[in-house]
Amino acid sequence: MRKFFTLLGIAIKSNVYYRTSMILNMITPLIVLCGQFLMWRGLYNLSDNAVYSGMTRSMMYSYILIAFVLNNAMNWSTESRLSKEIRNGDVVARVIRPTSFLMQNLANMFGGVVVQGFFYVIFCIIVFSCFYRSLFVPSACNLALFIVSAILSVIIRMAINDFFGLLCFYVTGYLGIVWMKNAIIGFFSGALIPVVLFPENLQRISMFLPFEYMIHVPIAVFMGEYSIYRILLSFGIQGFWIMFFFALHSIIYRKIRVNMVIAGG
Amino acid sequence: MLGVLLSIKRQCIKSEKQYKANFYLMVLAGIITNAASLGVPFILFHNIPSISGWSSNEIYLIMVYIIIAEGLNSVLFEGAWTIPEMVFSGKLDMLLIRPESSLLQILCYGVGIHGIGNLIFGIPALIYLQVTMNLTRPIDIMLSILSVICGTAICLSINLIFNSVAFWIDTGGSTSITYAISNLIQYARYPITIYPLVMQIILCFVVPCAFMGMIPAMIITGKVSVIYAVAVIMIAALFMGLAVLVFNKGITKYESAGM
Repeated sequence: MRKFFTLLGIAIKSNVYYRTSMILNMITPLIVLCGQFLMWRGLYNLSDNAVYSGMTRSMMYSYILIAFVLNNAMNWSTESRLSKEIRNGDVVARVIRPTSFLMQNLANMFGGVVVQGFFYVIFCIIVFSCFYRSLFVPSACNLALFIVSAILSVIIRMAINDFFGLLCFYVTGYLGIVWMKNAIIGFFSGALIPVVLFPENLQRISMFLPFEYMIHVPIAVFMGEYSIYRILLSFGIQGFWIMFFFALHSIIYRKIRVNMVIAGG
Repeated sequence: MLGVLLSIKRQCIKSEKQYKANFYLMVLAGIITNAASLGVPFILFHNIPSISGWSSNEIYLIMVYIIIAEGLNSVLFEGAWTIPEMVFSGKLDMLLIRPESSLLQILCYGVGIHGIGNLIFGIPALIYLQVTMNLTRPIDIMLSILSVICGTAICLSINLIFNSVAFWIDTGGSTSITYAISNLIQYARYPITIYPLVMQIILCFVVPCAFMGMIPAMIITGKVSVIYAVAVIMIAALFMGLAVLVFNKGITKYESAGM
């Protein structure tokens, strides 16, 4: 565990090194949030007392705010660092370090989450305390359960990022994979549009994919839409997906180690 | 001069093609990203009959114009996105010492393969939409082509202006400003009348995304008169000029990374 925290410290430092850039990188996604807020505000203004698939205006506002925090827990460069390192050969430093590859990668991503996630959580708390009248506020119990679910969801995101990162050993480029991953996650996780608005078939498909457990499910827990039985089940499924991707990691990594090719020498 | 630029482009395509799997994945990523972005209004219309008087096909038309303009930009002028990296690493030196316009060289530097995906998805979608909406008169087709050209110019000038920020701010090689702005373009994919007035003004005159999709769609569907096409051309020319000005101002601020 000490090794993990040392690596985490390094990751945090490298994340805050270029300060102007760091602050800009954190503030600019808020433009997207504003756009999303304005779009839904416009759609709810089209008719009085509009309710879309059981989502009232205040629920939707809370939804986009929390979805934004969960979706932006890590920034682009943290998410794609492993892939870039594989492409330019820097990954060799990770391979020869006497700690597990997965742990180094998780520590690295966690460093990004600590910096960026912390900022957005504070932002979220400020928004909730200023505009609690027009937002959906959960009960304390649901909030506690949500925090557990949100942490699991961030770990799923890390595991998925790690898995797609490793695939770069095979395709030797990274943008293609990263973009495809982001497009699929964005759509099926509910970051672009709530999963409850999906047509029936799409909802059924997304139930069997890991993505909705990253955003949709934690928010459903937040809003108290699930019974306690369903919440525990969702924790179990989140745990399953984490284990699934970690297992996949060790299988792929073992294969890669056998015939790894690194640029330069 | 064109020959030099074309040969830069050719080298960039070659260097992308050396990673075959990645090349095709990028094309696929372009198609999937756009399909997912059309998925949002598809799902919205599942729940809402119309968005402030616009039918689903009309909204898809706005989006397809933007998708094609973004696609052409990625394929032809992807280089604008490399400015922060070039300034950070000092690679810009290499382009500056060549006896060609540095702006044109930068714009041609690199090629966005996902843009091919945009075009593969966007062009058939545009043809399909125009046929189903009965917009097949020669004037409609000409308006469509004009919209795409102006949209590409507007998109290029936005990318260029915001990426040139790297000349003034230490970005550490990548900036999310343009990324955020290009997300703003995503919100111009809906009729901007659903937004508050301030946002409408921003989308019309600060980051003129409305002129990339919505206004051309209004012209072609007859919601406004054809005269508005002149406004689209003027906005495109104005912002293109502004972008060149910002870039030229910025490049005087460039300090090499040192040897």
